[in-house]
Amino acid sequence: MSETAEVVLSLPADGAFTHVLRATTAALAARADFSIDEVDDLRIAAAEAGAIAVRHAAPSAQLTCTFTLAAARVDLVVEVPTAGTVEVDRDSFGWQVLAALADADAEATRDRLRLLLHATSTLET
Amino acid sequence: MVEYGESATHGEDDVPARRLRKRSRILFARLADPGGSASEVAEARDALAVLHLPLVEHCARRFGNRGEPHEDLVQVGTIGLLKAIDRFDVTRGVEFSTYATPTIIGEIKRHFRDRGWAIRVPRRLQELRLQISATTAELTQTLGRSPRPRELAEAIGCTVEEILEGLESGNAYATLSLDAPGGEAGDGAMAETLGAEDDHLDRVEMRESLRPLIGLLPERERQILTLRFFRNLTQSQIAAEIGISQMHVSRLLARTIAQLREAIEVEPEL
Repeated sequence: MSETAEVVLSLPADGAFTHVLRATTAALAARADFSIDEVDDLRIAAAEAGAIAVRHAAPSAQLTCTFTLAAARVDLVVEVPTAGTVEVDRDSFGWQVLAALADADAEATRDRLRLLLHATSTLET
Repeated sequence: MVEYGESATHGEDDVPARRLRKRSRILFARLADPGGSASEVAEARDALAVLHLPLVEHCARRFGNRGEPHEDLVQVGTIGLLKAIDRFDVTRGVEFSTYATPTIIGEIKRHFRDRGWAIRVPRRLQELRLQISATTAELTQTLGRSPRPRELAEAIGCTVEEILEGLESGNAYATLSLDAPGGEAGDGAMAETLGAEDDHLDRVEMRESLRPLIGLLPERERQILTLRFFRNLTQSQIAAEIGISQMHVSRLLARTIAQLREAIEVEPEL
């Protein structure tokens, strides 16, 4: 893959849909030529990001998951409307797992939460 | 083929068959009548179905002794009959039975095909899963690193999508209930051991609350978690160190994380 590609996925902020995020993440990481291990790490990280976003979501909100793919690189932004400014607990278990598996950050504004994940493959392309 | 003495009453010329064809024609005319009311049309359709049901019986018997109940075959065959009734065009000049037989048999054959799928799909996935597992180990050896899905697909001769499907099914296949007994003898169900900790989690620092939960994990799960998150090994490295497949490591890791998260997050964090 020489250019970057963008994939946007919108899901109800409901735990029942996080498996769609998982599956999509795995498919896209495979497209970006990640190794099996890296695909799996990113899949678990995305599921955690999804779970954190769902927990902070405003009632009946939609998660917007934006993937940006480049050679050996996947960036994922999970964004969700929130009721007021929320704070992500960086000591929480979910965040610990997320941060261990991907380069992660969180940005909260008055009515939105954005979780940013960056993952790169160690394989040469 | 025609036995002696039967010719006078055989096939096209016998009286019941002629009566059936006549009745069939009358009913089809009523079915196609643009002036007919909805109930008249529905009645004609029902009467046609009843009239030609013996044809379905006859077709279904041809597929007897193949492991499917006769009644089921008659039922799906009847669907074929109804389709044939709806599509039959009287002006074409063919007998209805001639027209309907392939449709009925097609429906019965489709039934066999669909039933076959229910068994074949999981088996295909299961075989693929085993193949992925073996090929992952092989390629990890030769490449000295975790293989790409694309490389696995090339080695096995399938698509990347199938590899992902196989990996995902591997995870689903081994999903354990929280009510499953714990790993070591004497342990209660996983759910019980986790539930017992809930009261103590309140307002406790995450690391502190995780420690007892990790302590409750079966030995192997605890080891994998430690290797992955504290010693920062990759899944393939863990697989090599413990002597199980990478897929197995992946499954255990995903399951362990899900269980820990569930236990931790009984209390909403805010």
